[in-house]
Amino acid sequence: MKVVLVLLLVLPFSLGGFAAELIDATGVRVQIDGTPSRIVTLAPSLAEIAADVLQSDLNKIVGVSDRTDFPPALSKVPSIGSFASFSLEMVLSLKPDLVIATTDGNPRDRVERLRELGIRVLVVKNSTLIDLSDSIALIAEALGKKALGLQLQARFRSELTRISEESKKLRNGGTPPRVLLQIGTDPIVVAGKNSFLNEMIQIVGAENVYGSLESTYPKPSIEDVLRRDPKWVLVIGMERDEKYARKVVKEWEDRALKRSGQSPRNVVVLPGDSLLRPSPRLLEGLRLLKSTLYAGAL
Amino acid sequence: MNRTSAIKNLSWALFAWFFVSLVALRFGAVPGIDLDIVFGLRVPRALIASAVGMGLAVSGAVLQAVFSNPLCEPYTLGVSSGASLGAVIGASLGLNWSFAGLAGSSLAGGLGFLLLLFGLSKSMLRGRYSLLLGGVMLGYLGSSLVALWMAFSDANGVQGALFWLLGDLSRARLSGAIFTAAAVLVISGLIFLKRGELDALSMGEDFAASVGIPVERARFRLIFLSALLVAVCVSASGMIGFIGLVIPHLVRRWVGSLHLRLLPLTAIWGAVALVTADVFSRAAFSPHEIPVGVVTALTGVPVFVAIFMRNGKAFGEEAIS
Repeated sequence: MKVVLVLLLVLPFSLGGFAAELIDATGVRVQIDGTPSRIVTLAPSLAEIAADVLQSDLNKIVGVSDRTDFPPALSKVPSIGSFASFSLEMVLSLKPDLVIATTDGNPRDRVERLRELGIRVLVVKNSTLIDLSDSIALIAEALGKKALGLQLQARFRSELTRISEESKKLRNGGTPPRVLLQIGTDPIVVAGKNSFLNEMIQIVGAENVYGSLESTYPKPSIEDVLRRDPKWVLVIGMERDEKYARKVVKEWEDRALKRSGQSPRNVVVLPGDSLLRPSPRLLEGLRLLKSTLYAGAL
Repeated sequence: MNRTSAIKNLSWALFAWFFVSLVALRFGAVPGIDLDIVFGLRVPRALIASAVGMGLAVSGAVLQAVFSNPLCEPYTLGVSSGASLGAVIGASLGLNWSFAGLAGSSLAGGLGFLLLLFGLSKSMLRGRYSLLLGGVMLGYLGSSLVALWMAFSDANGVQGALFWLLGDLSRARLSGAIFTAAAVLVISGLIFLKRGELDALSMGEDFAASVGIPVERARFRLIFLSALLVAVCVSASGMIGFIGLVIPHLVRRWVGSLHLRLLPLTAIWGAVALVTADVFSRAAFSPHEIPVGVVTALTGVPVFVAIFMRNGKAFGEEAIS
């Protein structure tokens, strides 16, 4: 009798009968019955998080947004359009049992529309690094891998602490380098106080010259940037060609020359993927920031 | 033009609308017929595209007649800028009311600007040209406020509104589409009842006064109804160009300026044009969706030029009065 009881309790789980009720970033209760096997991700960062959790089960991701190219196997998965204007028809046609969306970039009413059409949507928020670590755990739980999610979350947080401590050592008591983190060139768009990029600058022990501006991605005038006198201009480029990098560096050199008596700026163009996508790859981005700012101390 | 040919024209227009609507239900971003997609997405879109196309074309025809000006279009009066401002503010404050997406805040913005325009017209903007200029200025005010709001807003909040500003039917819900269609039909019906006033006003205000039309009151009423139509359409779909300017010209060229025939045909051909453009916007570059306003402008301009070159007749002046 005892054996039958144990079997009855264990059987549903062993047959993939996993069930959970999660509360997502929009406060909606998302009911998960059974491990999702047809997943659509609405942003490249979400696909990266899901891939980290799914590991070898990447074929469960049946639809991704444009520019999803990491891990490379995902670049062959059908696209549902750009994260900012994805096609509702494409999402529906893929018959997903879970759509993962984000509050940072996916149009809210299109996401709501998916819910109205009976699609199960889990919305996460990745505005800060803590949000991101929570999202990793939430997505893992939705995918039926709660324990792994908690592990990945803990590892992500401990890596943040480690990079912060290493940076502190490299700075060796010196003044924090004043940094401008530029993410757009025309017009200039920079990382403001409310962006996760600002947190990243703080973690590597630097000072964001726009770190006190209550905005996520402000668009300051060149005059204002020069007045704040950053010692480092870190340009994050999605374009990877040399010509673009040279053009941006030259623009900043010209601006510096016009203001005599200024200390020379270090202008560096950094690849965007590991810095702009709120996914576990931000840790690579943080290491890149650290090695760039403290190259002399290494 | 006799009664038989009028019925023939109307039947053709209705057949064209029926045909493009079927095409719109059959084709989209994905091949094949999936009933969830057809009823969940394509039916509301076809309905809202028909309603908005109809509303914009009728509104353009009315404004061109009232101001005797071939350059008038639904966005001339600035009400659309108010609707855009409402949408952008609503989007960045997260006020995407669930029933109609951005439509709620946008409709509030459009109606706010409509009241402002008529408030101004009561106190200082006497005469049709003052009203027209007032509307154009309100339009500039609205666009500048949109730009200002966007400069200070975070990209995330207003990104959806940016797509919407270029004309976007993807937000269509059945409830919103039914509301828009009902509102457009009722307002267009009210305008149709005043077709006699429109005919008289399009011959000039002196003429209208001489045949006993209360010019100020008739103008106020027609502009109000037309602006209301614009507010409803823009709040449902964003700014979709070309339809409201060109469809009335093309139809006027075909059936003349008598509003008994002009208004119904303009309405139906406006619907045909927008439903067709929407199919293209969904299907042409799938999975990428082009804003439908871009499609109407890109395909509309060559069509307009082709018709112009074929007939070689000047557009506008002869057609309105």
